[in-house]
Amino acid sequence: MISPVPSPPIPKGARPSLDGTTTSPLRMRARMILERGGVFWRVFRQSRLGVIGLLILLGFLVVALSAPALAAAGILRDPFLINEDSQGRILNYLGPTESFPLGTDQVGRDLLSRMWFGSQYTLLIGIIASVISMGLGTSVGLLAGYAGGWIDEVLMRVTDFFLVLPTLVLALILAVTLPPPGVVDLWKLIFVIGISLWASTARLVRSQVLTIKERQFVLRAQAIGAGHGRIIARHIFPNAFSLVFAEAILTIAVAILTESFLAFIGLAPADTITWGNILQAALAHDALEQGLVWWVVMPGLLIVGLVYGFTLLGYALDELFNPRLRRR
Amino acid sequence: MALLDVKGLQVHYETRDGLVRAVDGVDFALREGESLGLAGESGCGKTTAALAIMGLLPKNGKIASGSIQYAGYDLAKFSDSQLRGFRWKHISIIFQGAMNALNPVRRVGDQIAEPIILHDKVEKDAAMLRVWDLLELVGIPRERAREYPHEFSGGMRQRVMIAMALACNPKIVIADEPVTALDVMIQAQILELLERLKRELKLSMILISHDLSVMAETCDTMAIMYAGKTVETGSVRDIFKQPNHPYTKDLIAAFPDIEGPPNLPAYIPGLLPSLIEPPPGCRFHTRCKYAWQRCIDEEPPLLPVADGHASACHLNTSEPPNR
Repeated sequence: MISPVPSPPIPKGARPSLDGTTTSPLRMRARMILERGGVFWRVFRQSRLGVIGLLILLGFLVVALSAPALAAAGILRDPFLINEDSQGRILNYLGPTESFPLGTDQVGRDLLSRMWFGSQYTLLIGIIASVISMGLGTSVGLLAGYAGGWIDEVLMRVTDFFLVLPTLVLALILAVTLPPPGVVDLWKLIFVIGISLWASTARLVRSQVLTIKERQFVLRAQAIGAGHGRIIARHIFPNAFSLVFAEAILTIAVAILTESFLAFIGLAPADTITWGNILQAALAHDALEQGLVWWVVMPGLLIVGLVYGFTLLGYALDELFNPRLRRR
Repeated sequence: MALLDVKGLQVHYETRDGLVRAVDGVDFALREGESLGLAGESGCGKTTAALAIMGLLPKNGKIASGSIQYAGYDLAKFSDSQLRGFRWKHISIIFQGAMNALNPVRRVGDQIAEPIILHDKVEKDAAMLRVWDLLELVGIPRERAREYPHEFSGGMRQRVMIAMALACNPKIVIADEPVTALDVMIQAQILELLERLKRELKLSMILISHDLSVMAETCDTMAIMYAGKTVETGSVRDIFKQPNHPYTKDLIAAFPDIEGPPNLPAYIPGLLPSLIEPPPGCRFHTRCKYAWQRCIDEEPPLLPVADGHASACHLNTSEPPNR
């Protein structure tokens, strides 16, 4: 009873190609991504601050990635190694010397190596915490905005609860109370930071979804038989993605700050090297009173620099993607 | 035997101001291979009737009574899941305003492929083969399947919407104001395309428009709606040459005549009545120049006035009192 097919039925396992020959879909896709990337870069390049942020971040990335190679080449020391002189005395509380450019800490570990390797942990914690936070915030926002009604109401009241508590206080409470109590390892730290930061993302995504779901292509998707999951995943989320991406970059900055704060008050795992940890050790052992200025100043500068890089890039992307800030 | 037979359809919207009777007794029939025009002012329930047939009414709207007969089924009684399998395979719709009906961040080809993937359960690669055929069918080079909606002009986007409507070989296509936002040159192209497709694919079509010239060009039969009711149905020829209902007459008179005297066309005084509290009797009596007491007291039924031509007016069954 269906009218005649205007084209022959689709053979099973057939692969399409535009000119009759077989173009590798991978190569086609790669070319497309390059083209679109080029367009994006041309627009992005006009934001000077964004480019500066990107350069700062690339610098930190080079530092983080080069650490193992530099250590293997003997330029950096093992950051956990307790250095001793030829008589077996521990070389602790050293100021900058030729072999220890930034000095050593309270147990005689090389500070330059520790800070160099610390960039790895700091970046890792910031990025993973941001991903957790985005995942949770985006899911809650999508669900609340799309479902509406009592689901929206319940989810948004939960979000409000997380939103009104100051981030640092919340992270502090979670770090102390989550089981196992009193023990903070790397993954618990990341989890705690991620959980403390998702609420504003949920709000942002929800408000976006509320406008997107009223657009006609959502009704069309419903008409062609797409289920709720498909509509959310294929039609609504892609429209909110750019905003979430910009938010993710900004959240990395906040996550790094939160991590530094938690480390600074002694809630970071002792076996991970983060700049917050180094700073905490410096203050706990009266580095300033001993004239060990670089022990205090360097980790602080590094934290500020990295956070600044992410913030600049995040704001530049936000300006590009956020319809309310766009001036094109 | 009609392919689609809508009888006494009533659709109500629950709103804060009260129950809106957006469609309140609509009858029309669509025969196989035919094109039916649904005409009327803005807000008279044309789009609501179309959405009711598709089972796409918004949450606050529901079919209160009436039947939508299609191939022995009553679509008005279908469940959501039944409708989901049914839509697009049997009846598809070209939405009003193609500008907003395409997802701006997805490739045009992917969007046309979506119903094929969902209904025919094929892989995307296989669906793309059909997408290319569909694009060429509506006059778009297949290479453009990779582009995004913003890279298309208004007319091209409307073509994409048409290709999408044809994706699963439906029997019936509902075109809701398919040319309203387009300039006249493009309008002609799109209408011609719809005509050709209807002929080649043996489609039946419901064309919704407020533009009578569009109807005259493309439709075989017409149904004129006023304030949620069908007031006149018949062939295009009957309606334009021998309009029966006063509203139809006024509507045709309101259309500028290229060969007539160069004055402004007539208009119908007054506004479309409220659909929350529609006027009693004939809905049109508030604006009708022939109205008398009976029109307020009694609702005129849709009665045949000639072969295949029906009208709902008391003038056909009684003489107006002399004034």
